[in-house]
Amino acid sequence: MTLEELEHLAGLLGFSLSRERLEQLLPEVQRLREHAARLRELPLDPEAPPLRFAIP
Amino acid sequence: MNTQDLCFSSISDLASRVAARELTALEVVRSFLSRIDQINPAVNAYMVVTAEQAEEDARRVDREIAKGRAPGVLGGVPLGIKDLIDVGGVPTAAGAHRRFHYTPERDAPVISRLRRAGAVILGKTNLHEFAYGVTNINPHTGPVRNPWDPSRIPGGSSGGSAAAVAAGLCAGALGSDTGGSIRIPSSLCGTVGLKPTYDRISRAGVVALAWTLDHLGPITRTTRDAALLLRVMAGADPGDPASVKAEPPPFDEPSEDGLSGIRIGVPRGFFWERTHSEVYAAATGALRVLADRGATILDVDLPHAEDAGKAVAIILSVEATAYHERRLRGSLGAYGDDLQVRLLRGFFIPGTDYVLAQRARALLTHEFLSAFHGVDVLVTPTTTVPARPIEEDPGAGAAVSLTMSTELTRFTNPFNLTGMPALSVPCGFARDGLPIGLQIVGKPFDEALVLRVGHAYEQATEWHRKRPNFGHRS
Repeated sequence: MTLEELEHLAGLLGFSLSRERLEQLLPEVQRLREHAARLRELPLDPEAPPLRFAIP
Repeated sequence: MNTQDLCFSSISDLASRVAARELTALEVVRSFLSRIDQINPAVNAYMVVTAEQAEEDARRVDREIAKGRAPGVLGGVPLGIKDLIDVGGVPTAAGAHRRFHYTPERDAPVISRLRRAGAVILGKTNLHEFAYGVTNINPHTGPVRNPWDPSRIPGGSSGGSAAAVAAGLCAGALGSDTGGSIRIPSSLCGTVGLKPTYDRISRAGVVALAWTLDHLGPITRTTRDAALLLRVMAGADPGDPASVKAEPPPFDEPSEDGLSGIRIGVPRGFFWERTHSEVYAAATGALRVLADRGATILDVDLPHAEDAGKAVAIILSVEATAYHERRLRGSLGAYGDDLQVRLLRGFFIPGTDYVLAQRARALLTHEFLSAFHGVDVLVTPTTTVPARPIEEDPGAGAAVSLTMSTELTRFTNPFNLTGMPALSVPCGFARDGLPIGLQIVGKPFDEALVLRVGHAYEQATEWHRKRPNFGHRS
């Protein structure tokens, strides 16, 4: 993801961010995407997410 | 006993002396209030001190005792409360901009439990903004300073609570822990911090950070005191359906027996890598102490441990952003620099990645539970390093804060992901006088054994008895 792509995405989400803020944000977004890429390599086929709806 | 000795007394000692009429609750509370007046400006541990209410509550305890009634197991014990937990009539600020403050009418259930046991609330303690960070460098309230070296961070996000306990500004305190926020400041300030099993303590009336990772717990000077507070704090709450229904077993009487028959698992690799040499030496020394107490030390394998932090980062980012979304859209500029970056990043994580991280959580929880098949507890260092310096350059603040989060939560956040009880106890000091913590982790709902191991370690060492002298270390 480039700075310009991040700026575009932020705009779609309704945020007009300064260049300084985008430059701080970009490495964090990239880091989280790298984390997700790594998690995709895990043997997760049998795993359901531990998210449970409970009627109060 | 002079005022300073009184302010460093254990919770159990204070409660028993008040109950025995050796001290009045009012004398105890006034001693702490006097010390807060003297010390807090240098530490910034408290946001608000509710002195008048504390004195009134202490008088009520004394009246009960005068009538011959039992004052409760915490009768007259002064506590500090992390300022994201509701205390009725006192603003909850959560370390945030003034526009986000609110004043609850009622106490959070956990506060009600403490009051019913006779505890006296001294005030609300400082924290990292909205509990989302580990430095406690807060643009709205100023930094909390580490009592062992005021130029250092106390760790966070419950840094005010840990600093208050370490400095003798309360007998114990409440913190919250989403990635290590009880254990990290306990490690860096030389206190005992317990993150209980997920759902052990009600989170109702508490400002959320990430619903599926948040825990409440005690910060104290001894393991026995942590056990005593846990016993009062834990249990089912009708206002929080997630809280566990079963009342907890008694935690506050850790066995005086040694650790014969206890198998301690040491997860080599990830949990000991990137560790400061003095932290490594202190934690290794602690293992020898535990072995001397009769425990068997065994290596265990957690092959995907390094992935736990990745799953936590995704889950935390998404849940925190979801919690704050409305405020972010209306008042982004009211958040500090590092909070803006932390909270904005959550908007850019697809929903599929959140579910992916939750599925990884299921895998890792199974793996961590399997590690307990041959051992009773796990032991690791609590943090990789002792307390870092307070970053004074606001331009570098956000980047430094984000880096420190990754560094300091490395060994703690896997147990938020897996929900297991984890205790930090003091296990030494670096050459520059900064405390080091040892983490003891148990099976779900086995706080009793975690506390027993911590207590046995304390019985064999003196680290938890050391007191800071605000720059003149002792």
